[in-house]
Amino acid sequence: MILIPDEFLLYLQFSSVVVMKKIWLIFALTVIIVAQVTFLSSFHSTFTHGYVSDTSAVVLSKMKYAYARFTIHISITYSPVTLTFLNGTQQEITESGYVMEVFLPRTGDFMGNFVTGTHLTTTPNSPTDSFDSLPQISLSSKHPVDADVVQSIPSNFLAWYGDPNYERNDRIDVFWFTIQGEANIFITGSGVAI
Amino acid sequence: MEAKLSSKMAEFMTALDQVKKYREILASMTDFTIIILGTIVAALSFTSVMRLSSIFIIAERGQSTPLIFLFFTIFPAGIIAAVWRVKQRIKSVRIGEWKTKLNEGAAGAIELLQSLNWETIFSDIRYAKVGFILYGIAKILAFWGLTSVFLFVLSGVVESTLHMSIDYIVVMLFSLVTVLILSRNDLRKRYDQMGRLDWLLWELRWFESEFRGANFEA
Repeated sequence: MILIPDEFLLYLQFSSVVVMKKIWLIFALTVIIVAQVTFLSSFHSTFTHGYVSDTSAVVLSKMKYAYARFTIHISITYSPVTLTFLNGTQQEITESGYVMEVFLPRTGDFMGNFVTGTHLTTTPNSPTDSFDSLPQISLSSKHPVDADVVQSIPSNFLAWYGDPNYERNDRIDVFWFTIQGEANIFITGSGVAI
Repeated sequence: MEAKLSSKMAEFMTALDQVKKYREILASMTDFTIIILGTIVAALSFTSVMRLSSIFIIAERGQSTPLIFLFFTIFPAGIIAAVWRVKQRIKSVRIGEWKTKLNEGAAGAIELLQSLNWETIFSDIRYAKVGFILYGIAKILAFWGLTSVFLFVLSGVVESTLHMSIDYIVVMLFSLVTVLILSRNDLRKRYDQMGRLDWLLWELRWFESEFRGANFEA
């Protein structure tokens, strides 16, 4: 009969408890990492830039269930440019590098992939136009924030957006302003769908 | 003759001490994994906070540079801590406890041999090999991750200053090749050590069978 000292048995018991605790800790950390990666996948970003002259527009859009912040760098070339906002406010920019930030809050709930899984595209000009060379607002659940610089806008630009019967108004938010003059525009946007 | 026996025994016990240290590498892999996973959790938490603050808090311009610097110090700090922990555990292995016994001469040497648990020694050598391989792979992966992060930052700088687009797969492959080239001496040492451990295992199996058959008389 082999006699095993009590101290050795105690040591084995202690070391196996320590190892089991460490394995549980590894498991817990792995679960936390998976949760963090899932959370980080709800962040989205967008970037666009363009040179504008004449009357142009900056169109910022997002899904209603997302928060978004856009940073707009306006770099004027020769003469001052004038910004006109939706409420009619005008602002003249004279400095060569002007930066503005736009925050668009969450205004609706996520209705599920059945509703938002489809890719929503619409021209900023008019939703009824069958053909338009202008860039499109392009939103989906994988790309819930979007920014566009649209050159030489027509007078009825985004006239549809105020229409309460327009079917996409319940899913997207659009913010836009016009720029009169020559400038380089860089827009970075980031959003989170939580 | 007695001196020769003692010196051979000292060589053998030193080799066993080395095996004990390698065996500890396998045991310390849990600590290594915990520290690396903790580093990833810290880096991801930091990223989440930074991303949330960039949307919900109007950050002062110029604050992002120290934050990015802080973010990129998390990885090297984690890897250094993990490697340090493994080294500490290897250092804490008690070795050379046989020296006093061996000083007693041939009788001490034989007593020492008789006290050895051969099956434990063989299994220790096998575990030592696994630990040696795993630690080698883990170290390469950790340094690969670190080099990739560094090269991603560098490629970001190159992209923004020279307006060149760099393929991320190329960056990953380049960092792997760089790490393999830089750690070629370590890899060669590990490969040689594997061969030595195999050789030691076979020699000890032969010795153990001979030793069992031998009849020692005082």
